[in-house]
Amino acid sequence: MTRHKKRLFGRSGLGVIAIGLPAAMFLLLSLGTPDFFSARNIANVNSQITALLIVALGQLIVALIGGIDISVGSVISLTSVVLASLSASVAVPVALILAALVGLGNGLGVAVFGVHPLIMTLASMIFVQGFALLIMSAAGGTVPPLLIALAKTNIAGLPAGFFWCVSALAIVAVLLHKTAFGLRLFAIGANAQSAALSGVGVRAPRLACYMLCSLAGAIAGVYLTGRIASGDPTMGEPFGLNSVTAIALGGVQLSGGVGSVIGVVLGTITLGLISNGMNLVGVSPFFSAALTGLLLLGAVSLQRRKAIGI
Amino acid sequence: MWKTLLCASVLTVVAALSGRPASAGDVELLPPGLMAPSTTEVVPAGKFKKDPPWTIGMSWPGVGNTWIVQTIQEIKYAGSHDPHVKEFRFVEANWQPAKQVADIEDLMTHKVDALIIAPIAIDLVKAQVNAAAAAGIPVIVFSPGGTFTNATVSVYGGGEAFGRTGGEFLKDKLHGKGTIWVFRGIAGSGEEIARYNGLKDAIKGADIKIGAEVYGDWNYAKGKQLCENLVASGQPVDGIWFSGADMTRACFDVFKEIGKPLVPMTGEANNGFLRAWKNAGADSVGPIFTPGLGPAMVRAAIALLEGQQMYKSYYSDPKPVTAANFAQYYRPDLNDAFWFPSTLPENMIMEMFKQ
Repeated sequence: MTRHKKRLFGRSGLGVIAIGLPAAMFLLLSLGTPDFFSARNIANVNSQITALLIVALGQLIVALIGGIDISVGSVISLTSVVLASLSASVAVPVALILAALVGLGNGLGVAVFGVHPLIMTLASMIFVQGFALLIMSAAGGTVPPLLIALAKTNIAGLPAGFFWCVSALAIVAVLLHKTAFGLRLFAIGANAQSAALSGVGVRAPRLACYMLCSLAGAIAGVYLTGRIASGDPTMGEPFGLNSVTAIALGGVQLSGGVGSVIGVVLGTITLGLISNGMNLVGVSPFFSAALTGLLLLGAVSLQRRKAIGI
Repeated sequence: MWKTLLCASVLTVVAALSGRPASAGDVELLPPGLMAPSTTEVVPAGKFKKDPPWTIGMSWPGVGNTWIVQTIQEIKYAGSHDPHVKEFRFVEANWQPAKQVADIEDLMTHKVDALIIAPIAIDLVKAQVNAAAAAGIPVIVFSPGGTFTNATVSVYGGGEAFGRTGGEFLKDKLHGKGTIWVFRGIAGSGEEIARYNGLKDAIKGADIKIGAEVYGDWNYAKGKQLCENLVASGQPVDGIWFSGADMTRACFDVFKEIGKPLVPMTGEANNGFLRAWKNAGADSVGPIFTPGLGPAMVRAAIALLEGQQMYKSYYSDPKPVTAANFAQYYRPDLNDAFWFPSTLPENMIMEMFKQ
C-alpha cells in the first residue's frame, strides 16, 4: 500500500485528523460555550485567522515542492514597518517589492546554490527581522487609512477578513489546480529527479515558489497592519512556525507533492479555534499553547515520519 | 469656653468629612509612595457603576520572567478575593501582537464588565481600546510611559521612571562626567524603549558619553557574553546602566572572574539581585517596578464598577532601593524570584518564595 492510498483524498493529503480535528473542536465549542456560535464571534475568528491563512497558503506552495519557509514571519514584520513608515502612495508597492526580493534570495539560495531550505530561510528570517527593527525600533507609525478600512470594514454584514480569505483561496486554488505551474509543483514535490528527467524545469518553479510565499507574507502583513492599525517590527514573529503548524495539521506533507488548499483552511481553522475556544472557555492561556503542541504532535504521530517529511 | 469651642470645631470638621461626597482620592490603588494620581482629571462617580457580580477580563502581553510570574499571581489573588467578582478571566498573548488583539476581541465577545489591558505596545491596542470604550466598557490600560488618552483609567510606571532612576544614579556617581555602557533589553519592546528613554532623559546635558550599547535581552547568559566581550575589548567604562538586573548580575560575575574592579552598575528591586549586590559589595541602585501594578489595575476596575470617582491616571515612581535603605527590602529568607514590594500576604509569600 502506498502512502498516498492511505489517505482519503489522494494527493490532497486530507485524512481523518485534518478533517476530524476542526470538526470536533467546532462541535465541542458550540456545545460548551454559548458565546462561540454568535455571529460576532464567528466574525472574530474569521478576522483572527485571515493573516495566518494567507501565510499558510504561501507555505503550502513551498511545501508542495518539498521546501519550507520560516522567514515569512519576518516578511510580515518588514511589511508592517514599511507600511507605517512610508507615504501611502508608495508603501504597498515598496513592501511587495521587498518581499519579492526576500523570496528571490531564498529561492536562489535553495534552488541555485543548494542550501537547505531551513538554513536558508532561517538566515533570511534573522536578516529581515533585523532590517525591520532598523526601520522602526518599536510599534508605532501611521498606517494609511485606506489599509485600515480594507482590513476592518464589514461588507454586507461580512467581515473584511472573509473577502481577503476568499480572494487568497481562489488565487492559490486556481494557481495550483488550473495552471501548468501548479501541476509542475506537484510533480517536483513528488519526485524532483524524475520530474527533471521528464523535461519539467525544476529551478525556475522552485524560485517562483519562494517568491510567492514571501509575497503571501507581505499580503498577510498588509492585512494585519490594517487590522491592528499600527506598525510593529516584531508583528510577524509567530507566523513562520504557525504557518508550518497549520499546513501540517491540514495534512500537507513537508516532504512535498501532497497537500491542498482545503487542508490549509482546515489546519488554520484548527489553530484559530484553539486560541479562540480556550479564551471563551476560560482555560489557562498556558494550557492553550501546550494543547497546540500536543495536537501537532498527535497529528504528525499518526503519520509515518518519512511521509511527513520531517 | 475653649473646650466648648474646640469640641464644636472638631464636630464640625467630622460632620463635614463624613458628609462629603466620595472623592477620587478615596480610591487607593497602592499604598502612598508606590502610586499616586498623576492628573486632576476624574472619571465621574457612577459613570460605570454596575450591580455585582461582575466579570472582569484582563489581556496580558506574555510570560517569560519571574517578575511577570509574580505579577500574574498578584493579579489573580486580587481578582479572586473580591466577593463581587464572579469571574476573573485572564488571557495571555505570548508576546504576539495579533494574538493580543484577538484576545481582547474574545474578552469582549465574552461580555466582560470591565477590561484591563497590559499591552505589548500601546500603539497596538488603540483600536481595541476605542472599540471597548465605544461599547461602554471601562478600560484600564497599563502604559510604561505616559497617559493613554482613550483609556478610562491609565496606570503607568516602570519604563521611563525606571530608566531615569538608573541614569540619575550614574550621573550622581560619576559627578556628571564619564563613559558608560548601556545594556538594553529585547529590541522592539515598548517597556525597553521607555526605560532607555528614561536613561537618555536623565543624562541629558551631562558630560556622560555612551561608549557601548548592546541588547542583552534581559537575559543572564546573553548579558554575560556581551559583558565579557566588552571587558575584553578594553573599552573604557566608568559605570554601567542596565535595563534589567539579570544582566547586572552577569556583569558582576564577569568583573569578578576577570578580577576587574567593579564600577557603579544599576540593577532593580529583585531579591536575587539584592543578594548578588550584597555578595559582590557593589555600588548599585534598585529602581522599583512593583508587581503591585497588576493588582492596582484590578482594584481600579472594581472601583469603577462600584461607581467610585477615580482619577484618569495613576503613576508609580517609588523611591529606589539604595545602600541606605537596602536592609528594609532584602529578604535572605526568600529565593531569588521575589520582587519588591509585593501585595501578597506574608503567608503566600513564604509559601511561594521560601528559600
